[in-house]
Amino acid sequence: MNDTARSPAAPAGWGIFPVPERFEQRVGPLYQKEFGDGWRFGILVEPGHCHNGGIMHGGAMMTLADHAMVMQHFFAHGFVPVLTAQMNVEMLAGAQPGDWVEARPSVTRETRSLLFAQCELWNGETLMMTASAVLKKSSGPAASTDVFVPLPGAREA
Amino acid sequence: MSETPASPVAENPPPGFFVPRSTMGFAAHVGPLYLRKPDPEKGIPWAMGFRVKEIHINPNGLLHGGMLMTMADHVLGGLVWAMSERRTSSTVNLVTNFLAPGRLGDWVEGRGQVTRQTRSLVFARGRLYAGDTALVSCSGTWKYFGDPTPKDGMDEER
Repeated sequence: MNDTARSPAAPAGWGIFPVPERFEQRVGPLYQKEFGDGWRFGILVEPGHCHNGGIMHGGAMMTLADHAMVMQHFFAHGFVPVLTAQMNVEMLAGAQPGDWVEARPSVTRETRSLLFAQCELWNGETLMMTASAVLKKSSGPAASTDVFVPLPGAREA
Repeated sequence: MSETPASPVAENPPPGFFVPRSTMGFAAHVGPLYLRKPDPEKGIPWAMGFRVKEIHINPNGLLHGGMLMTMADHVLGGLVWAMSERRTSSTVNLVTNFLAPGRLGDWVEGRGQVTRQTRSLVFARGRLYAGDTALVSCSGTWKYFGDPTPKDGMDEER
């Protein structure tokens, strides 16, 4: 996708998540902006975010919501990383190229090691996805695999 | 969105996996996602897979959860499509549990089963593996919409 296809533009005042050569940039650019009630995150939908039929792919929607729930905590707590352990989504409506999709995350409850979060995705005035997640707080970068419970040898019946 | 940089990680899919000719849009942009058709006589289940490359990695250096959820959506949605005589459906709900981290170079493979089919809804569940390690367990609900006529050929090799 190139810049000339990016029309209309993202709303004014939104920055781009600054991690090059990572999944965030592949799916993005992912936009971000701090509001009075917390951070919001956005995608300007391009054809590459969509299914063959031109409707925004659930994978792009879930990536945005996951990013939003992780980054709200990351920004608010001195850049302590968190890892998503579980995420539930309900897909309520779609989006098309040119739409501005905005993720509004919030924290439901925080414990010493866990974070319970929710996120809504809005396409203009339309609520297009609700998400909830359980996140594990990490003690250090990439050193937090204790959240994971491997199931060696597990296979489908 | 950026173009695909050359990756030192070879795709090298296991035998039987191919890129379906319907691959375009988001699945192509973050993929390619490979498909393997089932062979019941040899005990080979329907499966999808992809190779973890640099573009799939998060700032922690691990496979990004967004990619795993994209894969979960595709595996279960694709299975629903294949089991329903190729009717069009959309994801209504998806639950993803992240069990273990994926890493650069892993071949991530997804399999699943349809647990119940009603007139308008389909329920499915599955898992994503790297080797013998389950990375993700997932379940979801799909709703049929649009033209009930089967769409032929979309899971053929291009």
